[in-house]
Amino acid sequence: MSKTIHAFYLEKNQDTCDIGKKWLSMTVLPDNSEHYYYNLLKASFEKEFLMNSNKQIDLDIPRTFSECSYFSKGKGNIILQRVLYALTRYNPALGYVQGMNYIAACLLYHCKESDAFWLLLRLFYDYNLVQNYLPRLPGLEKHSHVLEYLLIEHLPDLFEHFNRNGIIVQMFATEWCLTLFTSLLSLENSSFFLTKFFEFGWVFFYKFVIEVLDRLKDKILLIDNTMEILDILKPIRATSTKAANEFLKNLEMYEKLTWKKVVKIACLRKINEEVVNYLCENFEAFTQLEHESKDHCNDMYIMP
Amino acid sequence: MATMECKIVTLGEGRVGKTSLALKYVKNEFHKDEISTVNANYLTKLVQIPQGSVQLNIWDTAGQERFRAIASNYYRQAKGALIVYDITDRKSFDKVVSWIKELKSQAEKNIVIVVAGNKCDMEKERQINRPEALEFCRKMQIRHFDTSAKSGNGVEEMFMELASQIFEANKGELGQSGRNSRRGKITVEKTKHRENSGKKGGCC
Repeated sequence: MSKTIHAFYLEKNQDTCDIGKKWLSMTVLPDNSEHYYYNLLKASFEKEFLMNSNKQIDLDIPRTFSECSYFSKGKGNIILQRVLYALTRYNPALGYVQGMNYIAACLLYHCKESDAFWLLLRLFYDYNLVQNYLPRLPGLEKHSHVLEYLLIEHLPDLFEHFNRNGIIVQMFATEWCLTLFTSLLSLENSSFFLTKFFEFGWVFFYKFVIEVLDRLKDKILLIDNTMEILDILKPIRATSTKAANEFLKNLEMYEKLTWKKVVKIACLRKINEEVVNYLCENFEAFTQLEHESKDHCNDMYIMP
Repeated sequence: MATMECKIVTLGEGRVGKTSLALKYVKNEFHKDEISTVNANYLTKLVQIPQGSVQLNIWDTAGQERFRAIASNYYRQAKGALIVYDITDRKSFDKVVSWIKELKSQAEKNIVIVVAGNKCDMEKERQINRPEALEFCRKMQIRHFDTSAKSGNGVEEMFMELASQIFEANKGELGQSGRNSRRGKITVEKTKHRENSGKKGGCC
């Protein structure tokens, strides 16, 4: 496989479509973005310390949206690999973390290689997605913290019910955070979500989570079993397209839904953005306190 | 007959077949390119063993090193752990040691551990000697199974063994809670490497 990757100047892959162009219009790319990308990619093969990260990428490529022939048989599979290699070369300390592969694939589905790479970088650093993948996954902690607040505020009975069944936000929302819902919505539907995310950032993400939970609420409240509840929130799945449709069916109340519609409805939801921003901004202070008190407890425990 | 409900967790390096083993056992399904697990999957199965029945709640975790930071969220209160390695990948076997260490110091004291050498349908590419793996597990007093999620080899036996060991180790809690509330307190003391009382504690 590495031979084909080394052939940098393959025939040009598909051009960025209208959806991709819309995403690009919401971010700023440097002038020589394409050139920079290929240079970075070239450099990614020269660093031995990237081997570990790259090995995991190689393992994950065949199982990223493998039901889509572009990624399983087509050249999408090599291009996805290259984008992820370049990404780890851009920030070797961060490396590759599972979850990135799904987002990268969804961007590639609508964009040419270098555009997908730059959009991915924008998500990482302008939208602070990178925080989710850092050691100890601090972003994950932050988003769970905000979601917990929103649950108490908007769906208090559901929050109580989760508590009674020993369910914490991380148990079901981690994958949503790390893949921006792309692993659940699958290739075809993720663009609707990503477009709104490029426009509104994490506020939209939170609204979407609350919309999904609100729609599942009545079903979940009837169940008093941790595993059964988690099975609704995070069903095990074989192929993502089928799973996306099955999950969608669970969200239907009276009307027939599409993911596009759910995205639209979620976007109209009102949440207290001031409080959300406040929680995000102050989160680091909270965690520091938390870690300190934990350290303190540990000290006490060790003392005879 | 009494039913015991218990949580078990799958651990091990990425792509060794944790999800595949769980899926094979619970749903008898196998997918060559199983979707990579981000965070965790949740599966359940009711197992009949001679002594009673055990409801296994399987928390199937993500294997990548970065997710190790949140692994303790998952093995907390687990009664059993299935540590998986890939027989064709030396590095994945080395990880088994560190998982066992972590579980013995961080998890429930009487947690039952079994080790699975998965992908034994790929015998030609084997990198870990079978005797080496067996000897290692014998020293640790942990049962070792050769499994293949693809063919189903060893999968049923392994989960059955896990279920019955867990049943043995926790049967005191099945009846009235009076006696074992005292036992629960004793576990506060640090008793490292205390083996569970399962009769079949030895290795295969």
